[in-house]
Amino acid sequence: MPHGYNGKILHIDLTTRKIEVEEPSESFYRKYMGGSAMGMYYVLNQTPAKTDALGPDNVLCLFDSVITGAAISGQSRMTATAKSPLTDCIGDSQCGGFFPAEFKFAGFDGMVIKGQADSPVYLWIKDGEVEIRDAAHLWGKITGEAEAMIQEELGDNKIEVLQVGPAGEKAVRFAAIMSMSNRAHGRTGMGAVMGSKNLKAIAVRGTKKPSIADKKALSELARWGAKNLPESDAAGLAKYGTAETVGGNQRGGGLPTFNFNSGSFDNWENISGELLYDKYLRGADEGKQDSKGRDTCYACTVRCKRVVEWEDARYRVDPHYGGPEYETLATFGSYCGIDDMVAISKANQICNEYGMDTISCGATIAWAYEAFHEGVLTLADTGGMDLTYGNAESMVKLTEMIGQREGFGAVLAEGSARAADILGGGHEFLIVSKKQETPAHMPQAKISLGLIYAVNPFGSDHQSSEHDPMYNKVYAEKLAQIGLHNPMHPRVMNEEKVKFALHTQWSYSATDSVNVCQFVVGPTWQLYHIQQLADIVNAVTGWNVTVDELQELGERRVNMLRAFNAREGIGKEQDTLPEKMFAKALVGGKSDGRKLDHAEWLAHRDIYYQMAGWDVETGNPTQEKLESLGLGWVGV
Amino acid sequence: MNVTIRLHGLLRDKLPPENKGKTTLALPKGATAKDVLTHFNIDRIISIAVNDEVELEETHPLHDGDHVEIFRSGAGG
Repeated sequence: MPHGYNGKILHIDLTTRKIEVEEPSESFYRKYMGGSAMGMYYVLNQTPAKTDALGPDNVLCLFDSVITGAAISGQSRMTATAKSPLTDCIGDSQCGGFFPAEFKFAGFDGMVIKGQADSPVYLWIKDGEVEIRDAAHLWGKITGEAEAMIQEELGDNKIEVLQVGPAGEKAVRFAAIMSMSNRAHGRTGMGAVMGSKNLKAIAVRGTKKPSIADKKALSELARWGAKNLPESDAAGLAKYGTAETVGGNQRGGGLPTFNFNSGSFDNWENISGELLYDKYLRGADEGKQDSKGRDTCYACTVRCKRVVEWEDARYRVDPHYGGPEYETLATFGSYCGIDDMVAISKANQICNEYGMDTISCGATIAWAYEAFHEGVLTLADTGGMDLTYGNAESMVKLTEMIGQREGFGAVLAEGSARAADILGGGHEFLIVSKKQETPAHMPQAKISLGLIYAVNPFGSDHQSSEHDPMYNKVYAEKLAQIGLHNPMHPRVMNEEKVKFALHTQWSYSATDSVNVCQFVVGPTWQLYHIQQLADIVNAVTGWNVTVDELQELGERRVNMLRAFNAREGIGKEQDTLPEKMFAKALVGGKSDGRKLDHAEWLAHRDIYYQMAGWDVETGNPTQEKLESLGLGWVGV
Repeated sequence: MNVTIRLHGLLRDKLPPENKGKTTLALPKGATAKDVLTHFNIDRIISIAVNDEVELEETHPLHDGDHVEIFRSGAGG
């Protein structure tokens, strides 16, 4: 009997309604550990090359890991993997909450879902039993309503629900898979994949926790985390949420503003984490926001999630839908020149109701604002909506129209890159890599992060490597664990910084396979470092995993993702940053006049390929590299 | 000499809540930004700004009337 995991993986064919349970070997679990790497094993084996991302053959994998559900912070995470309808590359997205742990307690470690139901259905998984149920009455419902209806009809309000909202049903290309109506597998359009299968939701209830190999060691690690959190660099994240980073990014000239034309937003304090905490969190009016306005995931002591409650003459912000993260504050805020916290919180709520990625949604709207500003889009295109920078009312309305695929919203529901194609203009304003809208950390300010934006297999992502300022002597001991010994100035870009990007990419990749929260576990500022992640895995499973093994796991996953793209014919030519970042200098603030040097950037990209052991001409993993990682079966 | 201070993010908690991160600090002549960090026992990665000039070294000299802001570096999202 394994420790930490069930040894059971569900295979569900929605076309035939056939349900099977696979019981892989321990060596399989040790090699892939769960999450993204384990999901990719099935995606690579079962998804035909060049399949339609919204067709029945696109296999959707949802995986826990070997430690999900153990009583320690940061472990209740699940990864969704499938071909992305947004990027046409591999898609990959993580989500926390309580569903991942509940799914583990229900007796399984992962789900491989293929086919397409002939009418809307949902899955009901309870203590090892699986049922496919009719969901016609749930179709079209926003997340909060559907969740309540499922819990009521199954008679248990402790049921956890993973679902798509109307945006996933209508194939908005950046639709999310939602949990608790306020947490999202946000990126790469995994909600559109789930919706295309007529799969509205997965309801789960479990009562059996897997055994733990060394309970004492796990308890000690958990106690260490709780004790050290207040003095750790994760403490600010706990109290002020990711929104705390608004100020730091602004001061460094890296707060994306006016669709990345500036790194400085004059009214940044109106969208800051401090203001969110002081005024808008539930309980703030009575000074009780720490108890009423912060939420958490299963067994996590950090409690970083925001809960906003607000009502004024314009909007009511429902606390059930949480509150905005930093990315959301930036994309709907500074990207669009908007400093209205209530309007941004409302847009966040709409995204959670309809099930949409707030990064792609806000950034796509920002693209439209710039196109409007430059006269490429007119009132005739927008259906009469004024998209002038700073117009919060239009932003909120447009967010809902995207979720409903209504009017001009239907164009933006395709994502900014396809919207530019449809409208026949505005390509020069796009802020995308591999057609995925760029998160709110600027490559002009964080150059090695920008390199990862470009080479990342599922498009630009801010959680796939460590950020440049963290290659600092303060973290020397932790970074030495992963072979990094020469801290660099934040804005220096050289071979050592490429190494920093690659090695921390492997670390982050490992955390997306062990499925741990990257605010809790990581190579620098996080609560636990990578050696401690190995300690946690070993305490739970009884294995003897090392940091090197975790790094190799991370490298294995990156190569699997990359191999998928190679099979789709996608390689080096799509490892790009937006042209604007090279051609147009930023305006205002600390980063005034700054732009990237294209020749230097290309040289660093080649160094990255060489370090990764990939073909510099194609950007693809070599067969030799794949075989060295135990992936000879993949082929490119 | 006196300098005005503004601490951002979690650093605000080094002052009473009603201060919202703002205070005035009396420092000896010749003090540097490092003295402010020492006063508040700040040993993490931060960004120092003096009179809106940002990304300064800890050795940056301070003068009477300066406005010092200290931020935590931003990652995550």
